[in-house]
Amino acid sequence: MSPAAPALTLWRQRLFGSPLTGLVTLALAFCLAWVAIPLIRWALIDATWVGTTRNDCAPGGACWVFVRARFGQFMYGFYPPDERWRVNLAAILFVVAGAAIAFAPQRLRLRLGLAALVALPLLGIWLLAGGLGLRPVETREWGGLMLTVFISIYASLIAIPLGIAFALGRQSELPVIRLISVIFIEFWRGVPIIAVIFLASLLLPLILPGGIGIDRLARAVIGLGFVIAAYMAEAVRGGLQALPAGQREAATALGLNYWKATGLIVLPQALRISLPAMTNEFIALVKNTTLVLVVSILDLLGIAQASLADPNWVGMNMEAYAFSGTIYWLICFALSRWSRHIETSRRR
Amino acid sequence: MKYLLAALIVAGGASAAMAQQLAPSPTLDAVKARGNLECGVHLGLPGFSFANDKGEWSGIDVDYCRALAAAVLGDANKVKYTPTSVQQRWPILQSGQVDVLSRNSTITFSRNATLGLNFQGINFYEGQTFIVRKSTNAKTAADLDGASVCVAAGSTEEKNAADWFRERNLKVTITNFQKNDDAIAAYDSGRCDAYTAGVGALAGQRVKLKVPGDHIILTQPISNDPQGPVTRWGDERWQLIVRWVLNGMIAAEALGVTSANVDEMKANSKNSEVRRLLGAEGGFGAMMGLPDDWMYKAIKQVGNYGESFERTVGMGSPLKMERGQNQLWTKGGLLFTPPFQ
Amino acid sequence: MTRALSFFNDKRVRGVIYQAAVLLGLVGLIVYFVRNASENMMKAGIASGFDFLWRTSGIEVPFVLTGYTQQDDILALFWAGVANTMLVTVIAIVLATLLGFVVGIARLSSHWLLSTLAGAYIEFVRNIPLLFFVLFWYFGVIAALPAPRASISLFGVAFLNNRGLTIPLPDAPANFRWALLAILVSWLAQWVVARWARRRKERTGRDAPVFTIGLVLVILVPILVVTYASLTTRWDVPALRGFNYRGGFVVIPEFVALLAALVTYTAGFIAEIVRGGIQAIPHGQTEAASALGLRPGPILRLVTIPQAMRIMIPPMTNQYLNVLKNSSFGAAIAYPDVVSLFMGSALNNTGQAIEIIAMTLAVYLVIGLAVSAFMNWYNARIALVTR
Repeated sequence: MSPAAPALTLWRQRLFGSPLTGLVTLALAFCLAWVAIPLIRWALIDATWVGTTRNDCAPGGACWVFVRARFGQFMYGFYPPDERWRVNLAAILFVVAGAAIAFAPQRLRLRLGLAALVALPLLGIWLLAGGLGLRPVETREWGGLMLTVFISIYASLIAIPLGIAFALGRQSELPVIRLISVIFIEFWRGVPIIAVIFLASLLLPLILPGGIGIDRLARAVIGLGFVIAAYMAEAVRGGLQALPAGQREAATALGLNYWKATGLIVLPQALRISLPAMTNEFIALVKNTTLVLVVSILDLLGIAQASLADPNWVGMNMEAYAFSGTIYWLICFALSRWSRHIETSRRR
Repeated sequence: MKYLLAALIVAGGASAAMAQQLAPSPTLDAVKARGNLECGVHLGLPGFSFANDKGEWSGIDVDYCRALAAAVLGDANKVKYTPTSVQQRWPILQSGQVDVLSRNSTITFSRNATLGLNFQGINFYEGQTFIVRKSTNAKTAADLDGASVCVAAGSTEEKNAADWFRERNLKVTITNFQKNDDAIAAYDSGRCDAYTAGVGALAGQRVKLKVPGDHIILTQPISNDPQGPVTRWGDERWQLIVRWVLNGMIAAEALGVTSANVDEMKANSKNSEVRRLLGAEGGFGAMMGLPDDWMYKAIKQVGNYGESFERTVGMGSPLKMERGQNQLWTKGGLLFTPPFQ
Repeated sequence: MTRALSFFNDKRVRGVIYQAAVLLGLVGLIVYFVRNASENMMKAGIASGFDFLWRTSGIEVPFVLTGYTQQDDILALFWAGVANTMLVTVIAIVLATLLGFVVGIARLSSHWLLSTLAGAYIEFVRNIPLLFFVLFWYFGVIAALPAPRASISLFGVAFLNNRGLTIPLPDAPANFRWALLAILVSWLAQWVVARWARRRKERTGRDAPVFTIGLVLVILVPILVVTYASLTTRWDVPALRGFNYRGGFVVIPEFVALLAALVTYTAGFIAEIVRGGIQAIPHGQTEAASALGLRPGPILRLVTIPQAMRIMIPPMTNQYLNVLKNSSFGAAIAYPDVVSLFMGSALNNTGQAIEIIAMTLAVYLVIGLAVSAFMNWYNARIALVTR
């Protein structure tokens, strides 16, 4: 018997163990082939990878030349090419800081995290927007993947503190605070994000005293931040409710007041429990950034759509959507794996 | 002696006018302080306002913004463009995010009356028509009985088309998209028999179709849609500037002033209207709080209306449109400007 | 002095003070915003108030359930949009639940390929923005369907092409109203019979021929009355004239595409809920059921799912509410829902942003509250009764 034989038997057992199993296998394999073969042919086999113009592309296959020609725009939008190192630097800073916090010794982690939480966003804005020695780059020149990432991160910077506050408010013993929190959460959870982004872009300039302008992008980020805050609040509430009441009672018995008990005992544990749920909300946020295109802010999908209007590259819809869709998928899939990983590692 | 006296009186009057307090113009002050003009334009309509892959804007609406920037700031490049969708254009202007909207938007009564907007003249006489596939053999809009028509929601075209067909007892199905680009993409993929927009807009959007040669633009328009720059209510001095920069571009064409001969005309022209227009006499710029060479700068850097038309939508552009109604009234068109006097 | 201090140290008193301060701050903020808004609008000369609702709308809508026409007022346009939002939401919820259950159960199947493919589907769907689905289905559906002249004919009365599915419409709907009434009455009768039979069985142990009666009442009666109504009514059968089919009712491709997008997307999430719910049922339950001699099908139907339902209801409610909110994505492909018609077309014709956005948000909040209330009621009904 060859060593491959047991595996072969196992697979035969799995796929053709009984007549019914075999039939299901055949039917599924047929469907799979029907979808996958043309797709693979289009995307890989018949595709054109090198060239400079649309005419270099073979008909019938994907024209990845288009994506290569537009790659810079898909990543950075209209960000001036000479200044793109700033975007890269900001991205590297965030990644390095994240890794440093993750691998730092337990004692330093909290302090390091708080410092990063304050310093990094400001540093990021300075790098991207410029000023103070850097050439200013206006937000209207931002776009593509960097904008998707920017909106996701900065909207959650609004959403997480606000969400924690309202989750605590919803659990509060004070009826007015509880009511306000419930109304806030349920209102933002009840309305479609497309309407909220529109609302933010129209209403924010109206309700502020005349003359105060808010940047277009900032408005979209604020609008998204409020909606996600409501969802984050529910995620955190899950963690708060999962925490045994004894924790707070013990803290109070030790003489800690509400804020100390919350900040030192309840929240750290509750947040750890709700981290997977919060990650899922973050994934939803990343997916929902696509909606900023209703206010003509060109994130990754927006810039892909805008590139379709180029008369020199007519008919590249599939390529543009396939490329941008894959990037969204990779980001969200990685995040969801990570969320599942922390969930299962905790359970052990 | 008599002439000298008259000149003295005129000069005295002019200096009195200059000394006179100008009406405050917060928009002009803001533009000057900012150092650039904020101009609302179309998301992307070749010939009118279109950004190439380097982000450089061009088009007849963009040219107007450039002329305005040249007049106000002395540099046609000091413009920042805010691309707006059909839905966003009014709120963006109303909320003060742009100083002027130059976005092929039709002048209508209800917009003027209820949106807090003023239209400052006409830079393009547009007429609504349809683009159809050649294979349908439709020659006029009336042939479209029973057709499906794609249109951008919230545009004047949406209502125009519905009204026009209803009046004639023709049954069409109108599908309203949020953006022009979505509507034309749907038309191209076979969702509709026709896509409706202005003649100029159609000429610009036709190049976005997969096979432009398979489609034909119906020549007979079903409406007239005059378009021009738009401002907010209030700040009359800013409205004045916006209006007269457009008038100045048209006047320059009527007076034969072009970007090529503007220096020569300013120095040597004996026509006093030309001299007033270019700031050689009259001090017209100062009356609005601008330098006297405001129109000189605009024409020098952008050109007169005719030059702008030819370059962006006319024979010098891929759109190849005839002047038609957008010709000077002296040459059989509708363009007209009050005198610079 | 000490008394005053202890007064402020009283937890309840402090609570009241905190709350009053928060409330005051909030009200102040709202008043401030409203004042700014009205001032800014006055200054800008923007009209306000709800008078615009009674102006003639003039907007053509290609897909109407409410009988709205172009000459009606803007309020009628609003209701037409609300009806379209509700229609796509309700149908999407039903279909997404079905597909979600199928995929979720397939994910748990012992068949390796089936469960792997179901898993791949779930991972694929959950990690891509919904907007991609909407665009994919829309342009995919249109591209796949033929032009009107080459329509796919369904029995010569309904026609499928890239302008939608055109189906015949009765000229005089009166007969159908009676037919609908008859169907409802017979279904009600079946419910009464089934209840009575169950009671009797509990009391006396005797079976009643519920199944046969049910067959007649639930299936045969509707078929008969609908056939009768169809035969006695004149039909407006669509016919190709000029560009398109005339007559009948057109189910537009925007509806089909939005529905397909909502169903395929939401099913990925529902499948995960179903899987989680079923896996949460202790193994002992299925083992006990099979020890009692139940086969896998009935075990799933009678033992597992009813218990899993209790775990599934709250997350399911969230998904249903998501479908409602996500139906607003129809605006991207010209499906005439409330966002597209009211926040799009009407807003542009009137420019009254605040009023229109407020009304649109109210629609979602009201429907959302109604769905939540229904699901809470259902949840309470099936909840485990503990003593």
